[in-house]
Amino acid sequence: MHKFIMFEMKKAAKSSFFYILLALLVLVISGYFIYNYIQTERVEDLIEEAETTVSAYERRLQERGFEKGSDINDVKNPLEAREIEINLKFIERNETRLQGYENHDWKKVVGEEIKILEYYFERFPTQAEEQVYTWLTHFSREVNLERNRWLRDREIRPVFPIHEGTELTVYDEVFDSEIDEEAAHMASNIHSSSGFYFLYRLFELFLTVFGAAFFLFLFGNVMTREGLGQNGPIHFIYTQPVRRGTVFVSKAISVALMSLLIVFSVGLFSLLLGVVFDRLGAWDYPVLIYEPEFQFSFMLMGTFLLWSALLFLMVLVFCYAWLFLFSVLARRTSIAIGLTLAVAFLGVQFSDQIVGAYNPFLYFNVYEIITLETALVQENFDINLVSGVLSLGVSSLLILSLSYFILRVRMR
Amino acid sequence: MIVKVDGLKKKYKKDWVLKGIDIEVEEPQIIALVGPNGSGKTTLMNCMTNLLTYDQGEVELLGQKNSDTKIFKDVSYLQDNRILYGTLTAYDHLKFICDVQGLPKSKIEEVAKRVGMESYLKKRVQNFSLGMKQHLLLAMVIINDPKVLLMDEPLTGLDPTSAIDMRNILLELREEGTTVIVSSHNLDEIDRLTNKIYFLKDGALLKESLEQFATKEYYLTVDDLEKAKGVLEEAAVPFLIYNQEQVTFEETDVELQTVIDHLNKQGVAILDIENERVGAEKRYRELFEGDASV
Repeated sequence: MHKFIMFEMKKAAKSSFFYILLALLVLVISGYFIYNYIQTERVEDLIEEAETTVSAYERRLQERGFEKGSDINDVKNPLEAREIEINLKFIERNETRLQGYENHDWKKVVGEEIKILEYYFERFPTQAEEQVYTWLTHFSREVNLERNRWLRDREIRPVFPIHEGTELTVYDEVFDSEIDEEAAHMASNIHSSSGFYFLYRLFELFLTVFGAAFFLFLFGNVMTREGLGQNGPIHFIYTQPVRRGTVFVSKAISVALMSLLIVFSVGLFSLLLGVVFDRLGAWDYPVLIYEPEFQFSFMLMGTFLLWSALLFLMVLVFCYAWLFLFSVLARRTSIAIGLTLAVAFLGVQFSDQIVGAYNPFLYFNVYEIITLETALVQENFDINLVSGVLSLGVSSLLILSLSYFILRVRMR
Repeated sequence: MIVKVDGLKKKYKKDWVLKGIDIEVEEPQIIALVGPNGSGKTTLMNCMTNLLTYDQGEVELLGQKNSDTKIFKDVSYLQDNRILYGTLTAYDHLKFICDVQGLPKSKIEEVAKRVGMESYLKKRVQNFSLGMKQHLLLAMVIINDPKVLLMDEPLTGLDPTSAIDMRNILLELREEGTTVIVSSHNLDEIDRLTNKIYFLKDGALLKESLEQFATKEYYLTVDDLEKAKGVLEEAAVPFLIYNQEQVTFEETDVELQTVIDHLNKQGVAILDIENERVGAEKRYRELFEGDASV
């Protein structure tokens, strides 16, 4: 069988269209990296910001005639004393951050953010009951706090910013105003040119039905190029001492393997871009995973990326199964791709109307499946990676079997 | 039995396109399948190689059922050039065959040399001329030294030199013990390859073509045509009167010496004896157009 698989790969690899699409993919990834590179909040920027903040507060103190280092008890007016005290606290916080940034002491930097959140929870203990769905929810603040603790404990260089509003969660449903909503989304839309984080964002964007569509174009002619029903190359293959079932299975395996290779190469290329132009980043960076009853946990980013790639490959196999079916029925590449895309997009569009964890169309948005966001929204925690792999795998097998059956029948 | 086709019937929708084909080949030889377009030649070959399913009958090649794909280690089928992958090279095609059939890579160079395609072995098929494609197709079917070779229109697109080369290769294969079943429209080439010709018409093998094929026809000029006619009728010799002048018969029907003996015994003088080779074209016209005079 491996000889057949190699032959299939050779057929794909010798097509100009295949290379054009791959070149396009490289361009898109590079373009997205450039965007991320520009959007990355760099330490130099943070130093400048902290210095500006310190200067601003120092200026305010000077305006009030208070010298830094003087005794606050000398200030007679209690309101003025309180204001000066706050200013001094801000100055101290920013100076600590500044030191952290300058010395790359991430523990110190993150520690400051942790202090802010811990203080908040001490001061507003009832917030859990009050802010359930209103931004910034208690849940989101807790997530931010725990994420920062994770970063501190593992001494991971954070992807900035890391303040309390940077982790927007599904619970943040209600906003006081449109401006708030826009600001919240902007604050949580974090970019980084570090390898792992860039790949994480790329997967979030790419491992969807749109990513699957790209692969459908890439391998759209895998069956139809055999000239089904037109005495095409399939007759050459069928007059070799190999079982027909083997030919069919080899085709399915070869497209799956090539897809794996491409997804793996995309990962490697993204990490390489990060290493060359910025840094590799942390494989153990925390990724939020939802759990029932307002609970959550974190997953290592490396694990998240691996599971995402696995589930996406299953999504691709499912799409290829449809592609095979339509190729066998329609025997024309454009029609087969068109019908497969239609099924995929319509399936995803209406997937929420078909309740149940075993609806394979639910699993097209890989990011939301692995983070269990879909599970939370659908209130069904059976919607997870395992169910996804199972339902996509079984559906693919059924559709592939049907395709093979039709292929045999149509030889008549 | 090298080839056994027994009562093969194939239906497309309501029409029978093969109406009970029987072929038996016991010794290595070249057999030609001849018939007009749509007579079912390609369908027959596709059924024989199990590329098409059929409704009735059985096919065995080298004693094995044609549904067993293992037969293709010893059976090759030269098909239309649409079976080639345009983006791949000739080498890629041949290497694939070597890979799946467990043949050494040295066979590629060997067969390329035999067919005369070394110069474009590494070029993509999409840049090939029709003749180059035919060369590749030939290389693909002989690389495994098959015991049975089916060929559907192998001479299409070949220039005269290539056609001669192809014919010589087929004759060599026959000498090497390969049974070749070839369909072609080129009746002159068929004549040069074999006198075993099966004519296919409307999905059936013409019964006449399964009998011993006459290669020679005799024309006797006699002194008394009427008397000769009576003598031969009495002796039950199959004959015809050609052009109201000569007695004519085929060598497969009766031996020349027998006819001479009958006529001499009854005092009919033979003035002249001519003979003519009966080619595929003449046979074809007889069978398909009912014109024996050509």
